[in-house]
Amino acid sequence: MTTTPGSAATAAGRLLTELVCRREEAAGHPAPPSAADTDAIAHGGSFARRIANRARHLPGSDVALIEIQRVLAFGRSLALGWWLLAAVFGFGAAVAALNASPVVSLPLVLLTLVGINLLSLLVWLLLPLLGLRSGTTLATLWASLPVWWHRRLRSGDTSPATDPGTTLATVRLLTTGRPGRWRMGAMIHTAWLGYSLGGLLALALLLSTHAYALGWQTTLLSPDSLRRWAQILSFGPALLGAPGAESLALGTDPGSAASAADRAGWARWILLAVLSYGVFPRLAALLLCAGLLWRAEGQRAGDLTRPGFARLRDRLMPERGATRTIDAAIPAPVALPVAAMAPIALPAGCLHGLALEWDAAGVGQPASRWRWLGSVDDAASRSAVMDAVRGDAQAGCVVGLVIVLRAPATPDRGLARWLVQIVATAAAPAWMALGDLPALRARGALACAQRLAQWRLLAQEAGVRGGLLEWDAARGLALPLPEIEVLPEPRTAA
Amino acid sequence: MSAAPIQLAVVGHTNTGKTSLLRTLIRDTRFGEVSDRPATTRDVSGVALLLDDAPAIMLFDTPGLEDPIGLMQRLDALTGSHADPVARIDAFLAGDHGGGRFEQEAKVLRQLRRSDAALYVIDTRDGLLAKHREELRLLAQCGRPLLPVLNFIASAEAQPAQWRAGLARVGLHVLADFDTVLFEQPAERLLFDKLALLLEAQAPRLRAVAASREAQREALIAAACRVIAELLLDVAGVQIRVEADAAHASPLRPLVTQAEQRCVESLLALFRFDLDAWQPPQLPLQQGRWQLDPFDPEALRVFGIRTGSAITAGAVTGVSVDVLLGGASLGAGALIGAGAGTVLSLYQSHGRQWVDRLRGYQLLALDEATLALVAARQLSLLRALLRRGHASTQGLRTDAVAGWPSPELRAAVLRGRAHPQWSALNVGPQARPQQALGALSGLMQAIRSNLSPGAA
Repeated sequence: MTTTPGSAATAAGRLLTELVCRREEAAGHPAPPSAADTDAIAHGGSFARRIANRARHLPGSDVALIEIQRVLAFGRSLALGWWLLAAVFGFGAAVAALNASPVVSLPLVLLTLVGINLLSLLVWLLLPLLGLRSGTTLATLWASLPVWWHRRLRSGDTSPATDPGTTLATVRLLTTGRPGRWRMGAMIHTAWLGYSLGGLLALALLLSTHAYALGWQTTLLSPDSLRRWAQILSFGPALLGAPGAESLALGTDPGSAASAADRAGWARWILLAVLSYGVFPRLAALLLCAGLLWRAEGQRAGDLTRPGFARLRDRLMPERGATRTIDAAIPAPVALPVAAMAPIALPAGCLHGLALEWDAAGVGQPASRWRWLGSVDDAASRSAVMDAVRGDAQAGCVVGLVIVLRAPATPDRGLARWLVQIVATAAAPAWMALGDLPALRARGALACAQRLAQWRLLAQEAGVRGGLLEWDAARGLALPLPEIEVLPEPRTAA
Repeated sequence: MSAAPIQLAVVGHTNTGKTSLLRTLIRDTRFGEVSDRPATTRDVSGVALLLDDAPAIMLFDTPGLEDPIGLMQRLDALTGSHADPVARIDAFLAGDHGGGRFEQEAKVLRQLRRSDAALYVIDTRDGLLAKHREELRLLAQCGRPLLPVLNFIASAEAQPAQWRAGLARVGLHVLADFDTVLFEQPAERLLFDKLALLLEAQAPRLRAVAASREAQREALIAAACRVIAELLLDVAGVQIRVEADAAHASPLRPLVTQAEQRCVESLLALFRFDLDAWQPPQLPLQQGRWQLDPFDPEALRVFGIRTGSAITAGAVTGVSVDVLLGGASLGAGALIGAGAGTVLSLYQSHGRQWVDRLRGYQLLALDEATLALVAARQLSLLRALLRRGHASTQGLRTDAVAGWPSPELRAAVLRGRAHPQWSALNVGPQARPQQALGALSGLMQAIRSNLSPGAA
C-alpha cells in the first residue's frame, strides 16, 4: 500500500495529481462529486491512492495526462540534448587543450576540464548563501520552451485539442518550489557531468592514440610554487592509484622531453585528475540533488493535510453509506383547519384542576378553591382521575376544567389522546395552563413561540375551548398568557 | 467477527433527538429532518457507518414513540401481561396495530425486532415520567439489548442524575452521555465502548469503527490546523506597495478579508457544516500601525543571517581568486568579495524600500494586533467547530477573542512577517515552506489540545 499519491504510478500521474490539487486549491473547493470519486472508491486502497485514482478519472484528465507526458518527453529530450551538447563541448575543450602547443601544458588541460567545472560548482554552492535562487528566471525560460514546442507540435496535428494551460502549469510545477530547485540543480550537474565525461573520453582517446609531450609550464610561478601546486593536485589521482609529482619529473622546460615512463605517468595522472576533480564532484552533487528532489517530491505528495487533498477525505474515504428508507410512513392525512376559538375568561367559581405529566412538587397547589385532582401521570392515575371527572360531570358539578402542563414538554399524541378524553368527559369548558415558562423562554424566543403554537394547536384539536393560560406554580394562579415576541436567531457572533 | 453489519435501531420518545444523534454520528447536517416538534420523523431510515469501505454498523432512525401508555394498555388487553413478552410484540406487529392507532409505534418495534440492539435516546431536559417507564417496558419486551443515551446533558435544564436513578430502577445500568448538539469525541468513544459491552461478540468491530473514526478526526484536525497555518503565514507576510500618501488600510483590507473568508469556508467544508454557518466579522483595519517596521526583531534577525551568509559567500569567492593567483593579490579578493556580499545583502533587505521611498511609495504590512485577532478568532472558530454536533440548528457562535492564543504562536506568526516570500498573497501558494507550515500547524494543535481537552 502506498503512502503518497500515486507513488506506484508514473511521473505523469503524480504530476496530474499535483496539478488537480493546485487547481482545486486555487478554486477554493474541489470539483463537484463525479464518477471519478466513485471510481477512486471502487479501486480502494489508501487515501493517497484514491486521490491519485480520482485525478486520473476526472473529466479532461486523459487530455491533461497526454499534455503532461509531452512536457516530460520534451524535458527529457532537452536534458539529453543538453547533456550531449555539454559532452561535445567537453570533448572539444580537451582536444583544444591537448593541441594548443607542441608540449601539452598540464595546468592548462586541468584548468580547461576541471577548473571551470569546479568554479561553477562553487558558485552553485554559494548561490543559496547569497540568497539567490534560479527559480523565477529559469522557470520563465523553461515555460516558454515547451509552449513553443507545443505550438510546433500542434501546427500539423489533427488530434483532439490539448490545453496549453496544462503545459504551463506542468512546467511551473517542475521548475518552482523546492522540488523545482533540486530538479534544476540536477540538470546543471548533469550537463557538467557530460562536459567532464566528454573531456575525459577525448583525453583517453587522444592520449592512447597520440604521443604527446606533457609538461608543467608556467611563466608567472616559480618552480617551487609549481611543484607545490603539482603535489597538492596529486592528492586526488594518488587516491585512485596514480603516481604523483613526487615520483614523476615535472618537465617544466618546454625544450626538454621527459622520459616515456614520465609521459605515461602524467597521462594517467591527468585522466585520474579529471575523474577525481571533475567527474566525481559533479556526480556527488547530482546524486545529492536527485536525493533531495526525491525527498521534496515525496514530502509534497505525501502531505495529505493540504486543503486540496484534505477536503476530499470525506468523499474518497467515506465514513457513512447512502441513506435509504426502510419502512416508509403512510402519507399523513391532510389536516383540516381547526376553527380558532375565542378564549373564554376563567370563571371565579369552583373549577376542576389537574396537572398532567408534571410531578406534584413542580406544579404546586392552586390558590383558588378548586377541586384539585392532583398530578396525573401513569395509567392508574389517569384512570382514577377520569373516573372522578366522569362522576362529577354526571352529577353536573363540573363548571370548568383547568389542565396544568409543563410548557417545555413536547405535546405528543399520547397526551393529546388523553386530553380529548378528559375534556369530552368533563363536558364543560376547559383551559390549558402552561407552567415552567421561564425554562421554555431560556431555549430562545423562536423555540418558545413554536412550542406555544404547538400547545395552542393541540388545545384546539382537543376541544380545550378556554384557550391557553400561564400557570404560576409559586402562587398557584392561572394567569393570562403573555404574548411572546419572536426574534430572529442571531447567526454570527464575534 | 460476523461479516454482516451490526444493526442498531435508534429509538426513543418523540422529539428527544434521535435524528440528531444520527446526524452527529454520521457527521451529516442534511440527514433526515430535525425540528423542535413531535413526530418530525415518520419513516424508518437506515444509514451505514463504514469501515474499510464496507458497512460495519447499520443505524436506523425511527419515528418517536408517542403513546406508550395507550399501547401497553392495548397489549395487556389483547394478550394479558403474563404472556411471553416477545411473542406479545410479534403478535401485535402481525396485527393491524390497533386499527392504525399505533402505526408509528409498530414501526419502531418492528425495526427493533430486526436489529441487534437499540440506542434509547433520552431528552434529559424532561423529567422521567410514567410514559418513559412504559416505553422502556415496551422496548424491553422486544428482547434486544438497550443502551440509554442521555441527550442534551450540557443544557442547564438537564436532569441526568434523575434519569440515572430512574433507569437503574428498571435495570438499565449501562448508559451513555452523548450530547448531540455539543459534541465531544471522548463521549462518542464511550458510546461505542458501552455498545461493545452489550454486544460482546461484536466488540472488536465496534472498537475498530471507533478507532477509525478517531483517526479520521485527527486527520481532519491536522488539516484544519494546516488551513489556519496557511492563512497566518499568508497574512503575516503580505506586503503591498502603495503611494506614500494613500490611505493605509484600504488595499490590504480586501486581500486579508478574502484570505480569511477562504480559510473559514475551508474549515466549514472540512467539518461538513454549511458554508454560510459563520462569517468572520469585519477586521478593524483602521486601527493600529500598518507600515512595515524595519526594526522588527525577526526582520533584523533575518537581515543578520542574510548579511552574514552574503559576506561569507563573497569572501569565499574572493579567497578562491586569491588562491588561484598564488597569493599575489594579497587578500584583496577576499576583501572585495566580502564587501560585494554586504552591498548585495543590504540591497536585498532594504534597498528596494529605500528606492521605493525615494520614488514616493511605501510598503504596507499587517500590524501585530490584527495578526493576533486573525489567529485568535480562527482558533476560536476551530474550537467551536470541534465542539459542534451536526445536529445543531443554532447559528455558530464563537467566543469573544483578544490577543495572541499563545506566546509561541505569536513568535511563529511574527517570524512570517520578515519573510514576504512565504506569503501566497505575494507570490503564490507554492511559496509557503513546509517547515514553517508544519511548525505553525503543530503549535495550533497544541493550543487546541490545551484549551479544549474534551474536544481532542
